[in-house]
Amino acid sequence: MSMFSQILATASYVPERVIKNGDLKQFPPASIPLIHSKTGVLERRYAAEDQCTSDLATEAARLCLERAKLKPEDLDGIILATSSPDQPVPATCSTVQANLDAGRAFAMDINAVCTGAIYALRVADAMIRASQARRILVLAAEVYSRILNPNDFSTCPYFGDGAGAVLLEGAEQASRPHVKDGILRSDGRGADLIRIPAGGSRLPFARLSDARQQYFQMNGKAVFEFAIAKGVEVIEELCRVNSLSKEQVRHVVLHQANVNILINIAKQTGLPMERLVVNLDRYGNTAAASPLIGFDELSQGDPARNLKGNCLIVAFGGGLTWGGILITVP
Amino acid sequence: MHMNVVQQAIINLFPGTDETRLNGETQLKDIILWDSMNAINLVMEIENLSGCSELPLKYSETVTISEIVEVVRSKGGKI
Repeated sequence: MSMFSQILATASYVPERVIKNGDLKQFPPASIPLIHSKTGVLERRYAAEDQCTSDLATEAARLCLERAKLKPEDLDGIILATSSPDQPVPATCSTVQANLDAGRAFAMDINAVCTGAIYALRVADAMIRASQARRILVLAAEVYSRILNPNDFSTCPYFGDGAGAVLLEGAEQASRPHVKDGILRSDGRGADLIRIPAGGSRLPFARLSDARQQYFQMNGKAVFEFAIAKGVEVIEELCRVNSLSKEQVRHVVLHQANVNILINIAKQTGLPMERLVVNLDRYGNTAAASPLIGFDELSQGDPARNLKGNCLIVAFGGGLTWGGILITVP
Repeated sequence: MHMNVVQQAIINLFPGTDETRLNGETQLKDIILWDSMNAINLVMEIENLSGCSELPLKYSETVTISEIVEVVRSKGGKI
């Protein structure tokens, strides 16, 4: 019997603290208008001093369970996509599992940087299809405000903190919105384009000679070109393999990297901008969390009620990694 | 090799830059990692090293190191 991963609920959480472009006082006043024109970001959210990634993930998880009218003990697994974990060891998802008191659920992290949510959804879908688990909560959460160099204009203004959640359940009949297909891709030759050089076995903090190496770094020009090329490639491939015309794609949730990337992908694929979710003006780039925050805004917690037709969720990021998920609403 | 503040700022900001290939005729577009966002980082670093403030923030990618040095000099900055 074929199994489907149907979506019971979605949720998201962003911290209360709003950081507008003008609040980034470390940069020259004349540079502030460039932030919006170059990135599309007007403001972003930063976690409170006492909040870390697991806290944001827990908030999104609780809301998702509440919307699905399920209890933590109903979960078989929790997968958290993050590239800004609470700490290197143990996995941040272990803390989320404890916060939720979801004692039956396995808990693991996935780090595919901004593509993390796609990787997590694909792994969860595969486990459900293989009947290894019935209900898996997919989370993506980031607190980039702690890993950014506050004085680096090429990274700091882009990013914000946030979390998203999608609850999947195995079903024999595809009666609700469900995962129809997915693509995962990587190219490790581009690993240096997006990175935090220090903090691992290659360069432990104890050997740090340049403080900037503890922060997130990005080759903006190369990443811009990569993101457009791979975003287009994933959309075209998912449409082709699933025999979908562009007209049949009702919604597209792209990773909110930069509004100019979104515009270019829309133009090259022929998808109208109004079918794209755009929220980076309010949240900035929330890395792995961005596709799930966008998907939750689109489905308003309940994809069965608020989505129609086919929805593509597409992301690209460090690794390099890229991929996409096709959600179909019966 | 004695470097002016613009060369030093480039070396500080963009690890991997080949110092021996940085000269007065080097254009901004020739710098690895150069983009319009890093342009702001470069101006901030030059201001930090030269002691002058309110340098122009926008430069064409074909502007040379010598031309930026002249801007810093005209603002009374340390070269």
